[in-house]
Amino acid sequence: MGALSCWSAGVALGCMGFADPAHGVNPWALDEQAAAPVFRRAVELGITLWDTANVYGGGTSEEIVGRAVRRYARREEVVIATKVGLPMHDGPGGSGLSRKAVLGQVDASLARLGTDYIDLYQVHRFDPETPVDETMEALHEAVAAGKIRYIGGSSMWAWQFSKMQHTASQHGHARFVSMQNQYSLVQREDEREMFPLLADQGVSSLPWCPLAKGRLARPYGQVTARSARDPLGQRFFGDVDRPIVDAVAESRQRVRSPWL
Amino acid sequence: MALVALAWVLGNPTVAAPVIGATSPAHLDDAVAALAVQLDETEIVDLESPYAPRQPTGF
Repeated sequence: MGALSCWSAGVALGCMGFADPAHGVNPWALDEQAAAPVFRRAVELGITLWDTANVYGGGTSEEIVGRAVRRYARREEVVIATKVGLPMHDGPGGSGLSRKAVLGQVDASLARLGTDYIDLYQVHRFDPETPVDETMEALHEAVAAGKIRYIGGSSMWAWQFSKMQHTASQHGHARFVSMQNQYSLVQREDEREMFPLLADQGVSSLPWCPLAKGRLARPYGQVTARSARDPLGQRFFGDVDRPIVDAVAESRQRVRSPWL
Repeated sequence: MALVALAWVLGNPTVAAPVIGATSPAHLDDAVAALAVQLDETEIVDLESPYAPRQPTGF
């Protein structure tokens, strides 16, 4: 399905948590040294889609990802995905999807990543302040300049995504190939409108929080070093459904791992 | 448990690759193992039946 299916091993490496813990919203983040074994394992397993964002760790995640690409992989073998839209700084171009923001932030991301192109550039939410054709034209210009290979979206309402995609088509601009939306056993609302839209448009989903920040990966109520200091996790999944977590635990007793 | 929860996500034909926020190499091993798991219909029903519609979050 779509351009993404041939890029990845079916799993993407989420790099939000590889950052300087002193910056950004994740005090549990792994610094560069702690992240090294995870990057190396990703390379060994053929997990080549590495997803970050300009905003993660105040830019430090992109710096760590860029150095990891150079240390542990070959640039052409990795699909570097990053994002633009969430606040990087005050003032013009510091957030949102204006022409100034998109074209300024893409250069800043390229500098932090230490590469001359980004494989997948994703808009980090919808920007109600910017006309959609301004955003799509700016993204297209970055594609035409060779700074971006593909573009994608992230969590928004289906009508917003449809509007952006349709506007790009109207003007012959680059269209989104991916949608990074929240999807897991405890958040399935995108099954109503977004997933049918993606299927119709030939756009692939790259779900975020597929394990509800670990809450679907361990028995209900069990605390980890990460979950104990994870304000975002508390906000999204503080009241996660015990019956769903229990159903996963029970199912795991019956389903055999293919490796055993 | 990640094996089952990820196998369910991967069962959606529009999903290309779930984004795994691994904090250890073993988390990636589990994720790759999930690619080879095919949940049968009764497992899927058991996993899905406790879900109730809710507010989308994270916009």
